[in-house]
Amino acid sequence: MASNQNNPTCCTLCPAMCPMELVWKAPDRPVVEYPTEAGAGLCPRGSALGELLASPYRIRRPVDIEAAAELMTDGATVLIDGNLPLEEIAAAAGIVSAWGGVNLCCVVSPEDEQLLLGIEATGAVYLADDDLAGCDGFVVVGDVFAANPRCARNVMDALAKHRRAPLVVIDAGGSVTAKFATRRIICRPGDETDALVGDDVASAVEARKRLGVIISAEAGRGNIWRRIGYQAGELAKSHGGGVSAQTIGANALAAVRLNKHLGLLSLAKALKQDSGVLVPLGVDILGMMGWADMDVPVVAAALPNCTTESARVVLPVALSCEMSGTYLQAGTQTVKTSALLPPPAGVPTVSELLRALAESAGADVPPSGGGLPPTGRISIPVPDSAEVKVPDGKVLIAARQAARHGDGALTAYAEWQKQSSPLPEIRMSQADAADLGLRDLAQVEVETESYKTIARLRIVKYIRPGTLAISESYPEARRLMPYVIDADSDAIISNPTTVAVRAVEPVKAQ
Amino acid sequence: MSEEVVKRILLDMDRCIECGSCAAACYYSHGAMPAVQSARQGPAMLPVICRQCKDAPCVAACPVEAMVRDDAGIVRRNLSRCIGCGSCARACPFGVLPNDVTRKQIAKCDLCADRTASGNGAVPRCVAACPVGALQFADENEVSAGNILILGGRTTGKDRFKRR
Ligand code: SF4
Ligand code: SF4
Repeated sequence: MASNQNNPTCCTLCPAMCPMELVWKAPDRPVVEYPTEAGAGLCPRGSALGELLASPYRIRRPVDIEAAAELMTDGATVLIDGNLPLEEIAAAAGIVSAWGGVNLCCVVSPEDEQLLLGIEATGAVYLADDDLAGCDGFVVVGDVFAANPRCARNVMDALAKHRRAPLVVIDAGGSVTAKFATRRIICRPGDETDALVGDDVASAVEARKRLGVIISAEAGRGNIWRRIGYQAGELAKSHGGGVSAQTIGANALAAVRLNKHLGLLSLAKALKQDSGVLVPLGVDILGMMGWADMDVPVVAAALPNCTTESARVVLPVALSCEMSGTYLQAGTQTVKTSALLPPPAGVPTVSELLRALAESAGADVPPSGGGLPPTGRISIPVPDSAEVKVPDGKVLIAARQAARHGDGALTAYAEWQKQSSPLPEIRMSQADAADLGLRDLAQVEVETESYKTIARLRIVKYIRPGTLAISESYPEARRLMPYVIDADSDAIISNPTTVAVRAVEPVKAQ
Repeated sequence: MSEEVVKRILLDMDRCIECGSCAAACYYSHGAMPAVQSARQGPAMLPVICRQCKDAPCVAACPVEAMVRDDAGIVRRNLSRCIGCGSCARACPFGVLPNDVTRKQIAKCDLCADRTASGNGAVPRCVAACPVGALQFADENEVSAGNILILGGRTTGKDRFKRR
């Protein structure tokens, strides 16, 4: 049964939806003010929002609707961010259906999309962050504490309450979460599926009556995530618990459901379409996919990104936190939030922009209805088992991080992030570092067959020799392991990639 | 000279998930001069924050009296007097004072006195921002009474996870 909550203003960059407030330090400088009492919490992504809303890099150029509409006359596929309020997505879908000849896709991170489809196939209950505190044990896949730092508090509180509660962490990427595990399964990338149904997990959670299964879906593990979602749901159901998917953005589940309910295109289909141009509105599609070349003539963005670099027409657009509206939490609860700030003068929201484009193309667009679109559970077949081909030698996978958001396009403009972590971090074992003659925190050159970039080395304890994990929230890191569209499954995947790492400066013997 | 402060910022190393929320909160609320540093501690990269020492070596080392203990007992840096010589940074035994190479001035934790001076249970921003409750703003005597050992301003002991 759906229940409703009101959150006056909050961060919507992850499912924690931390309450936050802005104050004005100067007439043009909003900053986050933290609640005066302990315990609220706001991670670096949320802290950066105040600065980003008033960033001097904001795109505010004139909204050249005619030039954009001109480029869309032979049809278009519009991509919108899946992390918009429900009302905004519904309005965009309404406009596109009245327009005709134009398709719409609500974009979610490819791993999150697959994970959520897998969970939907099980009928398992989704747990909100606060529900985690009531669990009597946890099975975790990936770096969930980095994906959503707030969920760590609830996990730790639950462990303090149930002294024998297990925290089983299955991880290939040298995660922070693994350090806190009571039982650690450090696997090869792609082996998470076997581990989740293996004897180690079964015996560790045997007596649990309310198990929390928490997943953070990271790139570089091939096509495992739909299967993982399914296995996670089944495991949680068999122990009276539920699943918590630590997605990029608070509304990923809603977007996945709306793509089905409203008959929108999947991202794989949208990218394969050859009818008309691709028009990303508020999505850095090139940065997200790690692709260098794609013809994207029209794009809307709040801040410059990989896609705006090559577009012929760049339009300004509001950030999702500049729009009031409703988010779906834990599968059934709707949470209404207010905009942190209204968009800057002259900067349209996604639906305002889409309406202007449609009207300029001569479409008769009715006013948007006020109701919420359907967000009920969708029916998904049980996914097949998944197998990942891991090449020989050292392989590169991706890892989540607390400081930066998603594909990194937004937080790339945050000053603290720029100063504290200007380079992506690449994690490797002590054995690999010794093998390559590298020291901790050294600058290194990372090369795959697709790309070459500079990163900062971090030696970590809980990673298998031969596996290297790079922070995913940097466009240059994504280009090292670009996504491909899997023709069989219609999924977008990134596989573990052979990698070479070398020092960029001579290393002195210690 | 005034008395030392009663409440300090204490870190529970067994809860810190290295998320950097504390450092980001300090950066964004202290004019981009963050006083939360990070340091390698075994396998972790943990925040290091001013201990508000009783006999503060940084105060003694400052040649221009820019680093002082104020009336509330907080060791503070008076930015308009600071000449950026770095004496305090070198004197600090815990390495919590960064020397800002661009501005040639020292960033210094003031316990967010603008919030905490009222005493209404308000905590410094780093403590409020910490998503897991690893940072506490507490009287170390009270924390010790809770059977937690404090070492150089950090809490330890009673470690469920026995990691570090
Ligand atoms: S991104 Fe950070 S601040 Fe935003 S909701 Fe998630 S944990 Fe909270
Ligand atoms: S905010 Fe808390 S958990 Fe995060 S680094 Fe700081 S002390 Fe550690």
